[in-house]
Amino acid sequence: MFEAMSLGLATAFQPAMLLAVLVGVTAGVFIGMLPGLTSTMGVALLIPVTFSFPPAVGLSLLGGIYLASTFSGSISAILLNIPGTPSAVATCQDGFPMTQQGKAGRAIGLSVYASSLGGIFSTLVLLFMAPALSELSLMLGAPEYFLLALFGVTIIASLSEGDMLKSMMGGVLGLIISLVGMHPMTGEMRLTFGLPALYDGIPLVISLIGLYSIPEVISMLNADGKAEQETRSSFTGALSSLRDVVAQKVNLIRSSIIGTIVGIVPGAGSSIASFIAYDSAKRASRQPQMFGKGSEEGLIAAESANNAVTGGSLVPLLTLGVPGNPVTAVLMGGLIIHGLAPGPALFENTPDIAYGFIFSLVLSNLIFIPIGLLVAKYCVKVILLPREILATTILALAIIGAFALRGQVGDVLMMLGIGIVGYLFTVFSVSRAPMVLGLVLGAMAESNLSRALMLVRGDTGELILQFLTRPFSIGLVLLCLLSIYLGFRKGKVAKPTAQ
Amino acid sequence: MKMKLLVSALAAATLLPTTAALADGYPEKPITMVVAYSPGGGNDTVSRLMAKHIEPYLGTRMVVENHPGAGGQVGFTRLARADADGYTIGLLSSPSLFMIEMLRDGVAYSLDDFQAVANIQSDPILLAVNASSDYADLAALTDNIAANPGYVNVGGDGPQSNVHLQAAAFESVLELDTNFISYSGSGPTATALLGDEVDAALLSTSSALQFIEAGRIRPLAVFDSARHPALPDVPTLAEAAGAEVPSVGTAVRGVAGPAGIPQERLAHLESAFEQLLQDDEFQAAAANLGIVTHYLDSNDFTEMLDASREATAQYIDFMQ
Repeated sequence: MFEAMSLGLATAFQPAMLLAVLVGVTAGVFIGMLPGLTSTMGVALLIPVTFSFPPAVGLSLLGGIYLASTFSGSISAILLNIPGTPSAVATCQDGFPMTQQGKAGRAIGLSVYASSLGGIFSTLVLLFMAPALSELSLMLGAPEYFLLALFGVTIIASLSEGDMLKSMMGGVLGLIISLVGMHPMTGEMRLTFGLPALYDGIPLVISLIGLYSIPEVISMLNADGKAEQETRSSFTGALSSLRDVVAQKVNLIRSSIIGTIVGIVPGAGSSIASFIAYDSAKRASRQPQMFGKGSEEGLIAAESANNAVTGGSLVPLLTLGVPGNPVTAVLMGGLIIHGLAPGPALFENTPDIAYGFIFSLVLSNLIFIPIGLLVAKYCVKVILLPREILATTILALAIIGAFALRGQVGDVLMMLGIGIVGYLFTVFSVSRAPMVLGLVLGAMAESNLSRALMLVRGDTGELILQFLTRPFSIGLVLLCLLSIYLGFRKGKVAKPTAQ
Repeated sequence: MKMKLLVSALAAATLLPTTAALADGYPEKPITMVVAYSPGGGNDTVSRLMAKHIEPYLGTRMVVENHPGAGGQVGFTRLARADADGYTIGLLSSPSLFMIEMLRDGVAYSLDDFQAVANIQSDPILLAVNASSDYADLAALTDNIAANPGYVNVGGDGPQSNVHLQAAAFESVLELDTNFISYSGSGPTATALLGDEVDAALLSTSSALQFIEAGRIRPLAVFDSARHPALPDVPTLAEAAGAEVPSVGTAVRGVAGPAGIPQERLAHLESAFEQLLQDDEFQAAAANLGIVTHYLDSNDFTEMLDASREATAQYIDFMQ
C-alpha cells in the first residue's frame, strides 16, 4: 500500500498535475461564488475539457473544482449574505454579521483556513481509512438515513434566535415545499398542478437562489448609507487569522469529523453537515448567545464541516463505486469516461491514478487558500458599487443561475416566487435557515421513512424494533432525544431572563 | 444559456477537422445532443463517450446538453419540439419514453414526433444477490418467493422506471409476488444490495458489472434473449427459469431527432453514427464501461421502437 501511495505522490507532483489543480481551483472559486453555478454544474461543465488529458490530470482538475467551489460559496455568503452553493447556507449565519461589523476580511480569512483544514482532514481520512469506513457505511440503511434527517430537524429549535414559533413555521414551510413532486415510493404526483416542471419537486438550488438573492436585491434598493458600505468593504486581518482557527482545535476537529461522516452517508450533503457542526459548536460554546451575531466559532464550525464533506463523499465513490451525492455522481461519470471503473479495482489496477488523485486533493485544499484570499480581496470592492448596479447584477445572476440549472423558464418563475417568500421572511424577521433545513431534510426523511416501512412490509412495530436494535439507529435515536431535551432545557432557562 | 455559451466557446476554440460536409455546408456549426437525464447516469455516459469520438465522422463537434426533469419527460419533449434542421438531436431511452407517455396525463410528445437516426446501445437488466447470499441460483430465489408471497424484498430503480416494468413482467409471467422496493437509481440500489438491505436486486447490466467483477454481488440471470457478452457464464432468464420473460425493461438507447429532418442530413447523421460504432477506439472505451453497442439503422430502429412500445403497453398495468 505504501509503495502504491508513493507512486501516487510522485504522480501528484508532476507539472501537468500541478497545473491542472491550479486551473481547477481557480475555476472552482469563481463557479462556487456565483449563486446558481453549483459544484455539480462546474464539474459537469468541465468534464468535456478533460477528454484529451491523461486520466489523473483530468481528475485532479475536476477535484480542484469540487473542493474550491465548496469553499468559495462562502465568499458571497460572507460578503453579501447570498450563499453561492447550498453548502454555504450555515456560513451566512455568522459570516454576514461579521461583514456588517466591518470584519469581512477576518471572516474570509477564518473561512478559507477552516475550509482548508477541514478538507485536508477528510482527505487524510479518505487516504488511510476509506476501505474500513466504506464497509461500515454499508451497515447504514433506510432507518438510519431517516433518523439522521430527523436529527437534523431537531436542530431547527436550537437555530432559532428569539421567536421559536416563527422558526418552527419556517421549518414546516420548508418540509411542505419538499413534498412537491413525485412520491418516492408510489410515484404519485403531489402539489404539481399537472406541471412537468414540478414533477421532480423544486430543486434546492432554485429555492436557495430565491430565498437569499431576491431579499438582498430588494433591501439594496432600499439602500443602506454610504458609511455602512465603507464599513462592510473593509478587508483586513485575513492572513493573520490562521492562528485563531488553529487555536480552536476542539471545534475544528469535531466539525471536521461531523463533516466527514455526513459526507460518507449517501444523500445527506454538505448543507446538513455544516448545520449539524454549527449546532454542536453552539451547544459546546461558552458564548452561545453570540451565534448568529458574528460568532467566529460558528463560522469555523460551518466552514470546516462543509469542506470535510468532500473527502467523506469520495469514500463510497472510490472504494465501492457508489456516488453519495450529485457532485460525486458527475465525478464518477468523469472517471468512467476516462475508462476507469471506480471501486476496489481502481486502487489495485491503477494505484498511480487513484492515489495521485487523492494527493492532488490535498494540494487543491492548500492552493485555494491564496487564490480564495486574492479573489475575495477584489470581490469585497463589489460592496462599494452603486447599489442599483449591484442589485441589478445580483438579480441578473439569480435569473441566469435559475435558468442554467435545467434550462427551464419555469424554474426562473419558481425562483422569483420563492424570492418573495424570502423577502416576507426578512420583513417579519424570520430566520431563513430553518426553512432551508426543512427543504433539505424533508425529502431525505420522507423517502427513507417510507422505504424503511416498505422493507418491513408496513409493520410499524417491526420498524420501531429496528430503530431500537440496529447499532447506528439506537445511537441516532439517543442523539435525537438528547437534542430535544437540550432544546427544552434551553427554553426553560431562557424564559425567566427574557421577561 | 450560460453553460451552452461556454461549451460552444470551448468548441470554437478547437480546430475543427472538416472531413465530412454536405453540399449545403451542413454541418457548419456544432450539433447539440439533448440528454433527458442528469450528468453521470447511463444516458449521459454513453452520450459523452460518443461526443468524445464522433467528431471526425460528423465533421463537427457534438455538444451534450443535459435537460433532466420529470424522469425524462422534460428532455424528450424538448427534443420533440426542436427545430428539425439536423442541429439538434437527442438520445431516446426506451421503454422510459413510452412509460412516461402511458402513465401521465398531458404528455406533449408521441412517438410520431421523433425521427429515429440510429440505435446505439442496449442495456439489459439482471437479477442479482449479494455474493454472500444463501440463494445459490435463480430457482432457490424463486422457490422462496413462491413460498412466501410478498415477503422477499427485491430492490430496484423506481418507481415507474424500466426496472420496475421488468419486475412487473417477471412477477406476471412467473406468477410470483415480491416486495419491490424503489431506490433512486442503480447506485443506491447496489448500495442496498451490498449492505443486505434487500434480498435481491434488479440492476442494469452496465451498472452491475463493476460489482460482479469485484466479487461483491452474484448475478443469477439476465433478462435478455441471449447471454451477455461480458457475462458468458450467467444464464438468460429463459435458461434459468424455463419460462420466457420478455425483456421489456432493457434500456434501449438510440439517437433520434425531431420528425422532419431533411433526408440528406438524416443520412449524414446516420452514417456518422454507423462509422462511430465501427471505430475501434470507441468500441474499446465502450467495452471498458460495460456498454454493449447494438447498431441499428434508421429503419430498423424505427421498427424496434414500435415493437418496444407495444411490449411496454402489455405490461405497464402490472406495476403496482
